[in-house]
This record gives sequence, structure tokens and C-alpha cells, in this order.
Amino acid sequence: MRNLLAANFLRLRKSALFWGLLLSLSALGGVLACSAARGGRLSMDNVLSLCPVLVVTALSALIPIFFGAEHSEGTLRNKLVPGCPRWAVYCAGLIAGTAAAVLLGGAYLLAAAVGGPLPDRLNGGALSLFLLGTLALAASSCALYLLVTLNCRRRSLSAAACVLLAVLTLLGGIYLGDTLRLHGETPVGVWDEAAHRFVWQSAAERGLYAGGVRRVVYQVLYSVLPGCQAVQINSAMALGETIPLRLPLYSLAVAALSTGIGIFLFRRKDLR
Amino acid sequence: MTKLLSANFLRLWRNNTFWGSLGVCVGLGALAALGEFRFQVSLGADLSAPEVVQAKALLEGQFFEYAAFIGILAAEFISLFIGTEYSDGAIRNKIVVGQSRLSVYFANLVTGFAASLLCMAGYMLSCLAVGAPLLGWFTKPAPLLLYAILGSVVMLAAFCAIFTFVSMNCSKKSTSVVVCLLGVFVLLILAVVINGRLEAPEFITGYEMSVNGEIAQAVPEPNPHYLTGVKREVYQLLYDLLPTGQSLQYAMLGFTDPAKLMGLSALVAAVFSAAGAALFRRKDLK
Repeated sequence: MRNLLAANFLRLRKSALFWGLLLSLSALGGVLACSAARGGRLSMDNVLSLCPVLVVTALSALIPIFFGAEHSEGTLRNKLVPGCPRWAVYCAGLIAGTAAAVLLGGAYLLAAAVGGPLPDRLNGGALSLFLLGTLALAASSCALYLLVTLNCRRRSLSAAACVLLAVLTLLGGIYLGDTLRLHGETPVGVWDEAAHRFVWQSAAERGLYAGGVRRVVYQVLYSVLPGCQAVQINSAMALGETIPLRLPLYSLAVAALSTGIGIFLFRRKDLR
Repeated sequence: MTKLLSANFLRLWRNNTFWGSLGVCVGLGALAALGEFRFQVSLGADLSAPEVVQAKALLEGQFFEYAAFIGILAAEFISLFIGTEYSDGAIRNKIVVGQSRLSVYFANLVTGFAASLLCMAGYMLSCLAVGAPLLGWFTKPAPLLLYAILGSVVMLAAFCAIFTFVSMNCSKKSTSVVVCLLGVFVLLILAVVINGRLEAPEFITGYEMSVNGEIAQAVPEPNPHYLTGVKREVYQLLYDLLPTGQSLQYAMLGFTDPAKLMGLSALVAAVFSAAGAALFRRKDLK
């Protein structure tokens, strides 16, 4: 396991994609924080809240390209030939991927902290929960992308699947968050063409309220999908709220479940 | 060029990604119409009344939705299709047998464009087939609809030119897939942000609660985020120039100058095709 980790970290250190993402995120964090410090449209809370979204997106590019190369170049097979067990290869990949995510998120946050002052409300507890939530989210995203990458022989297909998974769950998270925030009686403005004015109707009357089984399904998806979790952390930070402790717990559960499924599938996979 | 095109179309015919994309488009077209119908029924709208159909213009609302996502499908399909040619050595083989690099480039551009057009047509036909009986026929003026269809075809050409530019000049298939897909999403978010800035109202009217509890409109105040002067023109030009900006305008039927949009799309397509072909001529294919 130690040899596998050392090999992964050595490859990571030499990966141009990893360094490119690290520099891009640092530059983005610094620029946005400077803009916030000068009274731009984004506040410092908004700048920090972007971190989980950026980490999830960056990982969707890094994991399939980085670990997909092991498939296409035969490195995976070479690791198994000298006797490394498959679960160790899988777990070494997960640890290296999560470490890369921590470095990417850390670089963004560090550059943001250098570029502008952290918000006063972000004291020890709130900051720890935010960092814990982002770290757990990074682990669950990494586990999901690794599940796809190590069980799909074609690197390009796993890259497309991971990017689509990341972006569609982020967009889905925005939609689910908006829908779940509506209660049956929430007033919704509707433009009346005939009267040329807004009329107010309840969300239930407009058919916008999700109730019953639909609400339960939406809540489960909103709680477990990495993109949706990134949107939840983003919204909570942007609104100045504390991240609920259940979010990192859900993330860790997703990470454990997808790692279990991934190892099970990977052990039965024909690597040719 | 004819041989290259026939070879490409033969590959297209056997390509699972293409059939998958076409299936997604056909399914989304039908689902969009069906979803709108169910939504209107849940609101109690009487869709058999001509005045309701006339006022709501429901079919148009769904019919042009393809413009919002066709770029994503084109990004995925073109990068995978051309990337496979690279990884299988088919591009090198085509050049070895005497085809010019320019013909190879433009044959791939035409094939990607044709496949994307077929996906777009698949969405339109299925939306029309399901939507026309349920939601009624088009009610907006015919020239507006024609401009939207024609304009979105030129916009699609711009998308295809950009993705062909990336895929033909990047020998790693997975990298070109990631660049094209993430690129189109970044451009889409940029277009949404620009649209938000352009749509900001010039004056903000708040509501005040008086002492006796009545809610009254406050005096309108100038919006500090309202764009004016050169800044507004730059934002508008960027919104019109970006294919994703155009895709939002066509999807919402919110365009005012279709000729300008088509001209800008044609310019983007020409610039990216010329630059892509020039780079590909000098590329080391190993």
C-alpha cells in the first residue's frame, strides 16, 4: 500500500494537469478575493462558498484523466502482477485523489485568504464545519469519480461521464434547492398577459410545490449527490449560515458506499 | 473529400454515441412537450380553447428549448468521434493514402455538423409530433420562427467549429472531451451571468409598510448595477457573440436582431475553422 501511495503521489507531482488546476484555482481565488476586498459584486462569503463547487468540477476532470491513464497505459495491470491486491490499488487511488482535492481546495482558500480578509462571522466552529463539509464532499466526489474511472476501460468515456455527472448534479442541485425551498403556501408571482400585471398565487396552485413521494425523492437526491451538496454548502455560506453537521456525514456515507461498490466491481473486472 | 465524407458517414451510422445522442434528443423533445401539457393540465388550463393556445404560445416555449442544450451534446459527440480517429490512427491513415490535411479537417467538421443537425431535427420532430396534438400549433409569427430555426443552425455551426478546432488539435481524446464539455458549461454560465447583468432593471422599486400596516410602493431608485454606455454595449456584444449567449436567446425566443446574430455566428465559425485548419496543417501526428 505504501509503495502504491508513493507511486501515485510521484505521478501526481509530475502531472501537468494537476499543476495546471492548482495554479488556476489559486489565481481564481486570489483574483476573486481581491475583487471582494475592493467592494466588488461578490462578497468574501461568496468567494469562499465557491470552493466546494470548484473542487467538485476540477476533480471531475482530474480523476478520469489521471487514473484513466493507468488503465490505458497498462499501469493497473503492472501493479497487480507483482502481487498488490486490487483493493489496495483502489484505496491508494482514493487516498491520492482525495489528497489532490484537499490540495486544490486548500490552494483556492489560501489564495482567497491572502487576497482579502476572512469574514468576521467565520469563527472557529463555523470555519471548521465549512472545512469539514468541503473535505467530506471532496472524498465523496473522488469516490464516485473513481468508481466510474476504474470500472470503465475507456478513458474518454469515463471523462465524459464524470464531467457530465459533476455539472448535471450541480445544475440539478440548484433546481432541487429552489423546489424544496418552496412550501405549499409560498406566494409566486405570475405575469398575467391579459391584465399586464403580476398576480400572486400559491406554489401549490401553480403546481410548483413538490409534495409526497416526489418531495422525499428530491430530499434524498439533494442530500446525497455531491453536486447537490456543493450547492447546499455554497448557499449556506453565501447566506451567512452554518453548514449543518449532517452534510459531511452524508458525504462520508456516500464515499463509503461508492468505495464498497467500486472495490466489489473492480475485483471482478477483467483487466485483460 | 467525397470519399472522406462517405467514410465518416459510414462511421457515423455505426457510432453508438451518435445514436445515443439522437435518442436523448428525441426523448427530450417528447418529454418537454408532455411535461408542459401535464403542467398546464395541473393548472386547470383549457388547451382546447384557441384563445388560451394563442395567449400562452406553449409549443414555441418547448420547441426551441433544444438551443439551450444542443451545444453540450455537440461537445460530447464531436470530441468523442474525432478523438477516436486520433486514438485509432485513422487520421494518419487518411493522410498516408494521399488525402490532404485540409480535406480531413473539413470532412470532420461537416460530419460533426451534420450529426448535430440530425440531433436537433430529432428534438424538433419529436416535440412537434407530441406537442402539436397536445399543446396546439405555433401562434407566433412565421418569420420569427424561421429566423429562430435558421439562426440556431448557424449557431450550431459555430459550436461545431469550436469543438472541431479543439478535437483536431488535441491528440488526447480524454483531454479534448474534458476541454469541450467543461468549456461549453463555462461559456453557458458566462452567458447566464451576462444575461443577468443585461436584464437588471434601471430603477428598483421597493415596497414600504406604512404606520397603519398598509403596503405601498416606494419611490423608484436608480439601480447601481444597471449597465450603461460602453460597458452595456460590450456586454451586449459578448452576449451576442458567444454561441451559448445566442443559444439562450433562441431558446427563449428573446432575440431582436437575427441578422446580426447569424453574422456573428458565421464569423465565429469562420475564424475557428480557419485557425483550426491552419494549426492542424502544422501538427505533428506522430
